[in-house]
Amino acid sequence: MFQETGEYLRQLAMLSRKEFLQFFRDPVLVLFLIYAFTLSIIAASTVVSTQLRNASTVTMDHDRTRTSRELLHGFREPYFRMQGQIHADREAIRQLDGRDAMVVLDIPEGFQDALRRRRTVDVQMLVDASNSHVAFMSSSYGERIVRRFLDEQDRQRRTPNVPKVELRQRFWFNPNLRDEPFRALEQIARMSLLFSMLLPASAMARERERGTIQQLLVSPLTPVQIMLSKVLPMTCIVLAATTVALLVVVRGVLGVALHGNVFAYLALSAVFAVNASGIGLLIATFSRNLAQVGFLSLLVMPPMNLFAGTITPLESMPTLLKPLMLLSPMYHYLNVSFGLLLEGAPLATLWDSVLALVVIGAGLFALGAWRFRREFR
Amino acid sequence: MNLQRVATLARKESREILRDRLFSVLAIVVPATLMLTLGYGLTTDMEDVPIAILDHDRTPLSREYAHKFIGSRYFDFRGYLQRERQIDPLITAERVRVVVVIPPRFQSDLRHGRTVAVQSVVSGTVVQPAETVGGYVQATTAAFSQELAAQHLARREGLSRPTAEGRLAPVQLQARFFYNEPLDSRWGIVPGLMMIILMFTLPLLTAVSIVREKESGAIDNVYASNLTPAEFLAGKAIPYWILAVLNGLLLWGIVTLLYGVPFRGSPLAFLTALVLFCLCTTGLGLIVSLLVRSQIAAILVMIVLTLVPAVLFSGVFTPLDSLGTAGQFQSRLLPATYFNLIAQASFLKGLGFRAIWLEIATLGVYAAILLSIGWWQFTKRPKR
Repeated sequence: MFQETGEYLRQLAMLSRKEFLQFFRDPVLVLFLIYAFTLSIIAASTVVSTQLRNASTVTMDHDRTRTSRELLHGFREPYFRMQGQIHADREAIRQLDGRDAMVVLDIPEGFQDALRRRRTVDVQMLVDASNSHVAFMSSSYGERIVRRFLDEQDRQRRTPNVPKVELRQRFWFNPNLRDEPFRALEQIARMSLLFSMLLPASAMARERERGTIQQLLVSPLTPVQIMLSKVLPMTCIVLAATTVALLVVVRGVLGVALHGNVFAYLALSAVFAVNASGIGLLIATFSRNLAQVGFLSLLVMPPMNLFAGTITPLESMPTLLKPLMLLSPMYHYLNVSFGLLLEGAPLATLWDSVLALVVIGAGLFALGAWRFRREFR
Repeated sequence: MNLQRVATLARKESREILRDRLFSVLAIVVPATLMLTLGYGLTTDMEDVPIAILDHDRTPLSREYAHKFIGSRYFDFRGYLQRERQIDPLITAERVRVVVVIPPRFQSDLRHGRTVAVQSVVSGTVVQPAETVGGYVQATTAAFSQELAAQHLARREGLSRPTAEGRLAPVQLQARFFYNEPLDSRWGIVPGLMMIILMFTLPLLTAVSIVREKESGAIDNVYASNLTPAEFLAGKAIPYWILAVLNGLLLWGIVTLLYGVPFRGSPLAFLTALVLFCLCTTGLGLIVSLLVRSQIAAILVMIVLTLVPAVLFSGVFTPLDSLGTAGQFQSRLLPATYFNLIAQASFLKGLGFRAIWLEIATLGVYAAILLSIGWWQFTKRPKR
């Protein structure tokens, strides 16, 4: 019994060693692995932001008084950046068309006068709404700026007190709404999906393309051993890369404070990598050559990357696609990564995502093994 | 360049694409399927945001305030909380996205004309939804506050409601949204998706098919033949280029007919840009295929080189203004950015050649550069 197990493991180790060797002999691959888990994470997390920042703003100040200038003064960095004055409506449209400005503020003549007499006056804000989120945020920040301006005016005039509800917004875990922490972890997940899905799938497809899979199958190895030998080495490589990326790049270079249990995170990263290899192997059983593997992966990977809850939250997904998102290991992995490392949540709070990762992973693997075995019987 | 040799090679290449049935089906089906699923699901519009309220006051006025959230189509009310302790697990496990905390003495303070601070708790981990939700809570609260103040002032000074409102908020900011009047996030994202999908599906196909010949050794026939490098590259690229343009037209149809995104610009200008952009992506596929040795490396390099930058740096999800100097520079280096600008101008802004000729010309220059690099890289005497 023990001897059999020992033999089984020895065979597995031999096969895995071959995969390791093959991987490290492809210099382009190794170079890209290093790039993917270092520089690409820095690029994706520091450069990119979906927030409203420095929106180029021009003004059409038809009033040209102290009061109008005071209002315009409120529109400044980090949200808006003043690009100067224009005078004609036609020029405003031209600037918006040519993307020279994203926002045009139009203050009517008689603005100061109307304010003094406490008459209502409209200030127009023309917004390029090609990106609807940014457009919504500019109008939202614009309204806050106008409100602050009015409060200031009231204070100067000592207007009698009226009841007021003020909102104190608190963004937990990330009070300054920094992009880096979650984007870095998201990029790690993306890269780990990429490598742990494609490498086993391609290793399998390559054996088939060259016919060496026949040799493996007539050998005393079992199909599960063959599958595991493709999955385990890649999982180890990806896990090592994830560890380096997390400790050196995310904590060291980017200076992201990691609150939670790093070991739990790494353990779940391994589970995620196995999930991804399960998908890869399943794809491999459907394709005859590597090009087909590549193309089938393209069908799976972008939706997994983009439907992970970081662009569209679960509740905003169309009803038809919600189950798809709940079946995606990526969504659950990100939930767990953010919860554990950025929010310092205990594993118990995240039990449903952990369970989902394990169940989905087991299901994928079983399905892959079943198809693989059936094909070669 | 001998055109007949190019044509022969192109014919051989197209036959090969068509004969691999799964491959040729995928080449058409993958881009369209991606457009269907991604276009349908990717939205940044938020409705039915799950909300919970912790009301320490429990008075008619605090309930009136709570009802502003409960009755709103932007929020999905999940219930009142009893204690502060309940907030943390709910937010962390994403059971609710926002909790509004109404302080004690909310009603009595307001009735006395004082200022009351309400607190909203949102998880800030993922920034964009947090920002949007913050904006919603802010707008709802401001509207409630203004209404209350107007009521108060009207009663105290015996004014009519409109006069009181005018006194309190004499300046109104009227936002007018251009190009995307209904503020539908799909209008902005779906034309960009067209670029993203063209950017990574077809070049991958090109790269893999050439590297496959390298791996199997079939390329030795080319090395030994009288084909010149330029002829070889042209013969290889043309079928994939045509396939890419056909795909582009298919996606264009999906964007306008299925998703109802208006096309307001010049079709001819956009078609020109599309043809040039596809030439760029094909050229990129060529270059990568010359650099790598194995198919798997080709696939990985293409994905890392195209998918990630196309999603992150091209301005589809991330506004170009928000990118820092380094990001701006990086995005200006990508043909994808220019094609995205052209797509926005053509679909939403209704601009023609006169406004976007520079971007179109840039794409042309890129295509020329990429193809020249490919030509310069390709040698019939590779080092082994």
